[in-house]
Amino acid sequence: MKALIYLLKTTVINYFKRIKEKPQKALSLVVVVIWITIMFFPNRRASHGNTSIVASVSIFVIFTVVTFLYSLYSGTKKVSSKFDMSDVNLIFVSPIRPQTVMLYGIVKKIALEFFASLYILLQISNFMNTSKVTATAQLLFYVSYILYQLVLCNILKLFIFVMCNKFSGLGTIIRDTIKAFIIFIVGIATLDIIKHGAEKFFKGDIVNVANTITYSGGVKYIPIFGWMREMAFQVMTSLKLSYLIYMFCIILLSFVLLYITYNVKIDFYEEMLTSAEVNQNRRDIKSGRGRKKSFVTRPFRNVALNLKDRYGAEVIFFKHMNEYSKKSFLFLINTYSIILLLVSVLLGIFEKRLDIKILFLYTSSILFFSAGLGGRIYNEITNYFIFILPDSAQKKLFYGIASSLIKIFTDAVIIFVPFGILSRKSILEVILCIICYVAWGGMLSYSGLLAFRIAQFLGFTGSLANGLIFMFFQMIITVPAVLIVLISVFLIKDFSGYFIYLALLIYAISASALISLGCVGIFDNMEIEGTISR
Amino acid sequence: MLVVSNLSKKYGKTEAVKNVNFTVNPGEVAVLAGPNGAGKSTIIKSIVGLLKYDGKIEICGYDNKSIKGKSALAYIPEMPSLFPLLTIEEHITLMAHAFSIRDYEKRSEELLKTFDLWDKKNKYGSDLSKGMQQKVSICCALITQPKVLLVDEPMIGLDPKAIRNMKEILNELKNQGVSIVLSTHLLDSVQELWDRIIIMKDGKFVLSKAREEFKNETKSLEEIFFEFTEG
Repeated sequence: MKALIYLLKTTVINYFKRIKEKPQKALSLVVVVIWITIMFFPNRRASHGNTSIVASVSIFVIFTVVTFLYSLYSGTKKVSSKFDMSDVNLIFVSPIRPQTVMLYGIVKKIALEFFASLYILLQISNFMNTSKVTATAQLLFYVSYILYQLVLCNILKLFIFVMCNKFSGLGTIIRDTIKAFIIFIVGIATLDIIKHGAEKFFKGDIVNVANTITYSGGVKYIPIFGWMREMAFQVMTSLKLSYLIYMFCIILLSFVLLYITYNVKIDFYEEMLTSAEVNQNRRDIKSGRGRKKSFVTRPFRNVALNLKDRYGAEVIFFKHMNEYSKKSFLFLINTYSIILLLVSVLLGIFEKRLDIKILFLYTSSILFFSAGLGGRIYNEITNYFIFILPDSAQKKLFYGIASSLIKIFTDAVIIFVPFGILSRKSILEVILCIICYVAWGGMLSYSGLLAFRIAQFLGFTGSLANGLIFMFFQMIITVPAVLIVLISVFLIKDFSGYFIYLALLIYAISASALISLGCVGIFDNMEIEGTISR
Repeated sequence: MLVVSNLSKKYGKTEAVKNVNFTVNPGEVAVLAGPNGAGKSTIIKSIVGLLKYDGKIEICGYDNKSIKGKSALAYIPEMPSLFPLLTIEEHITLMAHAFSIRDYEKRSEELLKTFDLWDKKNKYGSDLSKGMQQKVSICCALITQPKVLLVDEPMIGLDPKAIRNMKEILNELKNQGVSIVLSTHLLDSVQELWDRIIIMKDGKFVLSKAREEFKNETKSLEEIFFEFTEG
């Protein structure tokens, strides 16, 4: 135990020491702090309306039931741990009781999941700001939520995991019971809708259930759900001393489950090995050391790589096209393309009057996120292969980006052609949309590469810091495009026909040409810190 | 002393290790060899206590998963992995504390100096190259004063000086009576060290023989390996 306390303590101390030594490491921390501050800062514009107590409390209780059932269910399967390979190699093999190691794992998991749970706390915070909830009640509720969601649910998962390991068959019983419960609830709701109609169900029966959940005296005696109900109710109305008793009940239950788990003789290391490897891989990617591994287990299509009479940098292009084909249903048509096709067809049928320029602007804004780091070239620059290829940097850049441009072109055709045909738009405008979309995507691909180079030059090797620099750079180069759109909308009426296309095309091509000059150097040497596995 | 009795391990329906038995006496170096997928890593991981298995593994008379068994065992993995926010020195401290080793400072200094890590002792795990991480892994294992040492690919990632030092240390430990199991493909690198060769194929031992049992034969480990794995 002493060794694990030493490990946790030293890790925290060194985290701050490291920030002092390398201030750029603080970037992600600063962003998180700013985000948290904004999140919990009182929203002055929030409408102080009277949110329904029944709706709030019942939704919260249902949320509690769902998270509880999820914890039970996931506990019967493989528990995703926060252990990584350093824990496996150094802690698992040490003469420390597995129960103590598990305790250390829970502490690690709670600490790491705390930040992830802040998003849900934000939703609660926003809601409370609109519901006249006092500051004390808000604070108490955050503490209760953390106690329930992070502490109790995580301990419950482990408790169930340990019990399922101890008693074979228990996992199946729990899973079947949960499935039966869900089928029962869905069945009753469906029967009710069939019998009395949807309107009565949504306006009558659900309200009755919500009222029962909120006001029924018996509910508060149900462990966990009843306690959470009472706490939510008191936060919405007025706090009583019993609030602290309910909080104590959650702590006590967590402690009892933990105590039982701790005292059961367990051998759980094997079950943790897979998630430890995955966590290690994620950690390596985050620190800029590892290479991206696909977490998708869908098998690739069997498409042969044909490189006959293809030499030098050309090979990159054909390799990329082959990779796209292997990951797509047909040629370059993947899941994303299907979604685009559906959107295009639905808009073409139901929104015929929609200006194609609006569709162009919407889809182009999505490219802002997908074109930058989505291209295949980003897999290449974390691999030595492209650097050792005996060809000019210009050719590597051209062939490296070419496949992404073809993919963007395919997507553009899928978006604009069905919509154009179904809503009878001008052929010229459809073609202009496609050309501008490809030019815009090309520019964002080049700029993503340059942003990557700038981030590396500034010493930002972590994935979060890298991503932030990337976003910042993309935003800067998008500003002129936004100005073009604003001029088109406000100064020249109705987008002035084709002006917007012409202006965006000129900007995208000029910017791409300039940015590509800055990108070429990326292939000159392999000494970019963090990109190559040392 | 390490005693492995009737060890079997299944991954789902695949039988990775099939009822293997072997003993490594104090001061003996057993080389575990075999083609990829033969089951070497499974045996190592089972001995270290990372896997569930059928059979019995004893370390100095204690079950390998017991606290006493683990206290006598050290493991150097093939792929080193360190805590990113712990310095080299803190890794050694952590391992010494975990294994309840007192007065480890002098030994720690010796080990770090042997592997040219002394001047880098305040470097963080995340700042080290793979080779340096491997050296730290070795130091972490050796600081625990083991009675049984398991080494998975001991020379991978090390520079020539570190390889020479590693061989010297293994020899030193052998003379001190430590039982050593080396899993390696680089058979030349352990030619002078080995006392027992265990060759695996498809989860089974195809050879388990002590050096003296070869009598007057002057075959190298590599020749023995190919004799039993090819054909």
